[in-house]
Amino acid sequence: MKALIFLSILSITISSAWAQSDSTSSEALPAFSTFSSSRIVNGHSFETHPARTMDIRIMHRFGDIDGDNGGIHTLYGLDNSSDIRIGMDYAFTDDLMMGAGRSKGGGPLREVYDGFAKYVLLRQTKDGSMPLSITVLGSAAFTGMVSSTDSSDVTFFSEGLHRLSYTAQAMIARKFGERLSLQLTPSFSHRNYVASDDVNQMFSLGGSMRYKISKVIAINIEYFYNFEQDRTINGVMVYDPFGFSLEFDIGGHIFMLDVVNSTGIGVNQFIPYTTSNWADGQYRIGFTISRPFKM
Amino acid sequence: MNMKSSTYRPFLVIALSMLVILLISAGTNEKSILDADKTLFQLLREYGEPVPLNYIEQIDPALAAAGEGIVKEGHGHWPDGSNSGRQSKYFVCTDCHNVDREDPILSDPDPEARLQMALERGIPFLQGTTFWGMVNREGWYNGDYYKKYGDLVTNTRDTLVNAIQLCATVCSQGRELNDKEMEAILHYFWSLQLTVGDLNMSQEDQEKLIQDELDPEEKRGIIRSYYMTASPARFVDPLPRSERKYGVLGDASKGKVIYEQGCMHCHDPQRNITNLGLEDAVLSFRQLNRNMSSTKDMSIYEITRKGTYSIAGYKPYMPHYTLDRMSDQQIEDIAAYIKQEAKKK
Repeated sequence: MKALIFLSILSITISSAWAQSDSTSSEALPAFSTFSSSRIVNGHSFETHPARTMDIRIMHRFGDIDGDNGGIHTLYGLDNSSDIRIGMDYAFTDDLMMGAGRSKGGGPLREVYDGFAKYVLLRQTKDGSMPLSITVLGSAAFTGMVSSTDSSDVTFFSEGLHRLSYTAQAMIARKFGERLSLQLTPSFSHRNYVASDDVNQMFSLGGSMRYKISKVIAINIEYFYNFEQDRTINGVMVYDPFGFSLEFDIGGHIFMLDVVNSTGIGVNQFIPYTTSNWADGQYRIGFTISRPFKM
Repeated sequence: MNMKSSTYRPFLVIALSMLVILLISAGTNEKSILDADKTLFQLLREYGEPVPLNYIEQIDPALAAAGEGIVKEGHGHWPDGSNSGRQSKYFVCTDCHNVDREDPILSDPDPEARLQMALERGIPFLQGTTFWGMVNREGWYNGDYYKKYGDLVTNTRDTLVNAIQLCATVCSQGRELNDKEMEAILHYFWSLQLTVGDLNMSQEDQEKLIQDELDPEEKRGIIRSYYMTASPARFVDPLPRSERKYGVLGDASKGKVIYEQGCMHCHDPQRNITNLGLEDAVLSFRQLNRNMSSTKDMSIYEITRKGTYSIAGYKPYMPHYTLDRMSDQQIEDIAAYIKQEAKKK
């Protein structure tokens, strides 16, 4: 319920901004740097890099801070790593970016190879003639893990196609002045093979924001509402992913200190497979380092 | 009534005649004696100037267009439709140099007058000297540039192609230009040569040129007195903290022009030239204001005078402003603008 209220407020804010765009003094609204990076916390922002830029991106998520697997005996999760992704994104043009990465895998699927293509359809303009930025994304992931011998297991792959999962997203963003940026992310996930109590296809809606505290520091918040609520995977409850990050834009590098409940990192992982619950102390810190290079 | 009109008529005629005489005498009789469209080099040549290295008499428009592409976009299109390929992945020449006239008086490289001209013409206020009229200079990488580049500047000071090559490989951290690209750039630069009209010569000096009293060398001296044959380059240290006024005596309106047409020329995030993106917005101004008293490169007092250097792993860098390209007072003007904007809610 709270999630629906949050998303409703976000939608109303964005739609009202659209309605007002012709009448307000939109000269002051910059149309660039809506988000500092191509990711907000785990999910993609609408941003792509400028043409011919390669972004090396390392993402790490530690273990549970609290709960049964956290606490002082794991130094609040620092002894464990729930997922690690090393990837590279490349912008072919100002509007088209593609990327690939390899993750340890934070959900039931391990050894995950993923790739994505992202294209900017619209960009918010300074004069308000285009009040929103819109990007579409297609992503696919492949698990290379050894198949389970238990046919009831979600990792039992009787054929290669079962190892694949896909996500399609549209990112609708707007920058409200220098400090605040908001984004809605309607998403569709498809997994070729799921547990008997799970669903192959699922819609979700992400809501994200960035608030700049200073030129260098910003706070990012990201939440995905899955329309398949009360879903389980082999009896394990699935939760909506929620996280926030403290972002440092230090000129050339973006460093993010994240706190999330999701164990997985990629969109094919954290949206359908978050089985960690904030209320049970199953949240973790993590970090993201992004280093773009001009090519 | 008719009687009265005829009485006043002689006075009216006299008054009108006096007015006409007054108007004629208030005007000037000056006219250009020399052909204003003649190129400066042609004029010098008439008085015995030797042909300089890399002189191009007949400019090939297609090659000049390719050269313009390399200078402005980093790559040019050859007449056969092929592309020269990118020269540098970091910079294009016009990131640091204008291609327009930037000094109202060509013999006086005054940064204040240049700023006013930048404002009037809407051109950037940059560290490098303009390419407009560059082929008419006789020295490049002058003055204190030896302090920055050492022996690299030795063979650039009297040879334009060497200067261009140094700019390509060191300043823009790109690859060496091949012969074809260099030729195209020269064709473009010669299309930007000065004309006699650009010099705004006095009529008296023009008359001296057409009379026989002076020898050719003296005549060439008169011509050269109207423009800089080499741009001065004086390096100065950043103002020490004790001497910084932090904008107290600065003119924020001038600072705004420098910020928008100087700083933002490269630091606008949309131009993707530097990692330090600045916006015309309060968070950027507050960051600059916070660092103003620093002795590190985040202070405008430091960065304008020292710039940064290319380092291993991060090749692009910011060239500094010499005293001839930005005065100390202009740095105070930027400080005044930053302080003014940082206070805004």
